[in-house]
Amino acid sequence: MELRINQLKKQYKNRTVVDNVSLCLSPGVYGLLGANGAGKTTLMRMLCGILQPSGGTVRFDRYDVTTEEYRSVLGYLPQDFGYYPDFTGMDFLLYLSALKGLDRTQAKRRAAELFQLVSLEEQANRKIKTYSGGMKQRLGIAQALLNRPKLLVLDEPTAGLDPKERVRFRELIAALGKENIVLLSTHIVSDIEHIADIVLMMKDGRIIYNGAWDDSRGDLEAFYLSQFEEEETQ
Amino acid sequence: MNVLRQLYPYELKKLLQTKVLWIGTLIMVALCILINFAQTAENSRGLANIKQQNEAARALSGRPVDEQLLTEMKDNLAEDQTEINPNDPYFEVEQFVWFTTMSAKSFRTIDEDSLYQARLAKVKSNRNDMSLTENEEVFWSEKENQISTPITYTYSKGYRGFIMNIYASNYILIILIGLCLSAVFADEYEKKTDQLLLCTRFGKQKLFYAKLLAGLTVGIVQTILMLGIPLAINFAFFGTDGFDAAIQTLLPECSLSLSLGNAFLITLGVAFIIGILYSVFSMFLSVVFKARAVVIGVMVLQLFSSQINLPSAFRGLSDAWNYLPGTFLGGWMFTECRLVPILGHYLTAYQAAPIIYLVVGILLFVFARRAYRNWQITGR
Repeated sequence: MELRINQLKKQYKNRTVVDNVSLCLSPGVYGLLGANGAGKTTLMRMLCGILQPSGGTVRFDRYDVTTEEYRSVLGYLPQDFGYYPDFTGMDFLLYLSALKGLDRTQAKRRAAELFQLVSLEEQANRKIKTYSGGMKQRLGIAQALLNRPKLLVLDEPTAGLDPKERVRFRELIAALGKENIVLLSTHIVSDIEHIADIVLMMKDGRIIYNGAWDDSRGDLEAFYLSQFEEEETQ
Repeated sequence: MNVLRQLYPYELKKLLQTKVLWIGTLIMVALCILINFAQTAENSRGLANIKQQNEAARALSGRPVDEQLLTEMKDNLAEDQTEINPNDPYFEVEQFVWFTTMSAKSFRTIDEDSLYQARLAKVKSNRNDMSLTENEEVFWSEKENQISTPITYTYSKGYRGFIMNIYASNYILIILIGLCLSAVFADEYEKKTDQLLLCTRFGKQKLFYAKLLAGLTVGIVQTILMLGIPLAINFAFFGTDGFDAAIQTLLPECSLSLSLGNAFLITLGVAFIIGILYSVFSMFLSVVFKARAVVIGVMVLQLFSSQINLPSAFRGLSDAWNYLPGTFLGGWMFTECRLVPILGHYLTAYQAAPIIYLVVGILLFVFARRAYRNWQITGR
């Protein structure tokens, strides 16, 4: 199982947002760090096939990012996304299950499992417009997991979660990362420190750090901040 | 197919959960009922005497509009009568004379010869107005030769009322369908749900078809409603008799050998196709512009543009303009003399329109599908 990103590029007129990124990801948790505008979300969108790159390729095993097969192994939680306010949580998951290719029986079973996993089983039949921000975020996490994705892309997944939920979520990600490729982006360095096997740091559209991080290398947050300081002094 | 079956109810549910659909439909249904009642009341000078008027008209049914009938009509006019009156026992004949001569006073002096000469003059004037080609002139002359006079009056007020009032339903449909189907694709963008949908296995292809089907379902139901209202009101007031009446009793300048019943069925069919075309067009705009306001704006623009009549001197542009669905639907589609040549045959307007709408609908579908497949998540 391998996600191969080759010379991936996104350019808008004269501005390069993602600049020739090449990566090869195997199962594990990858933490993507970067300041606002570094190109994290653009990179993730291209990995999810919802934004066409200006150049380069993305393949999961032998499947190109544009194929149905690629999308069938993908789970995606966008940073800022919407819901259907008059759908119940259950409607929402069943609808997305159908889009992900689960039949009705599988979908109902999987939705029930996920409601339990994200502690929303009592709210499953309530309309989404009655959910709090944290509940909506948990529902978003649940939808990303519906098809048991082999490639899970999470853009700021812990936003809106309270500390207890965040800890639970980290454990969930760590478990999923044992057998699948999980790529998550966040501003919260401690989230990355706790769960990421590999740290990817992005700046000006390029990957400036790619590797494991351990305490012997010092404080990740200090390293991360030093990158901004460098930028400011330049 | 199985995936479509699963997705379709959710897409329909999304549309049915929009308040604008219910509020818009309720308002437009009320408006449609009101307009049709108002038209009926205006044409009959109130609703109270409709039964007697219908009985009087039915009594004339089957009689040729000849010298004898015209004399009876004139003998029955009040001495000081200066205009036709729906409560006259010969009102239907008076009206036919009025439609034919377009002269307010001619019903007092008309005879059979001058009536049918006036009709021929009207036929000729209609053709002259349209700058016909030589082949078109020949085509219509042959058609006209098949019309025999005197024309027989047949009671057919139900069909007539429907054909003449259908324009109101057409205008309402433009707005209603635009209002309700603008959301089909644009809402996903505006609600930011598109990024969830497009990265799923079936989000880029089958979802498009499910959305289209759900939109078409809503559009078709609204079309049926807006056609059903004038149909029900006209048939309730005037009955369904007179299917075989000559179309010339309503449109004297028409040279087609067509019964009013058939004209009614053609109008119904073309209106239905137009409803589908509005639906596809709205969804096309929704997927291309991803903004409800743009869809509604373009549909309103279409409504206003249907009020503009391009001079037929601009042949080509004027021809195309007449086929805009907002302009086309109504009695005049049977008096339009400009023909459409297809594969060596000439098609009349009402024959060509469904083909043109079908082709345009297919093109819109293809472009909409392409726009959907190229949908990108940018910005935000």
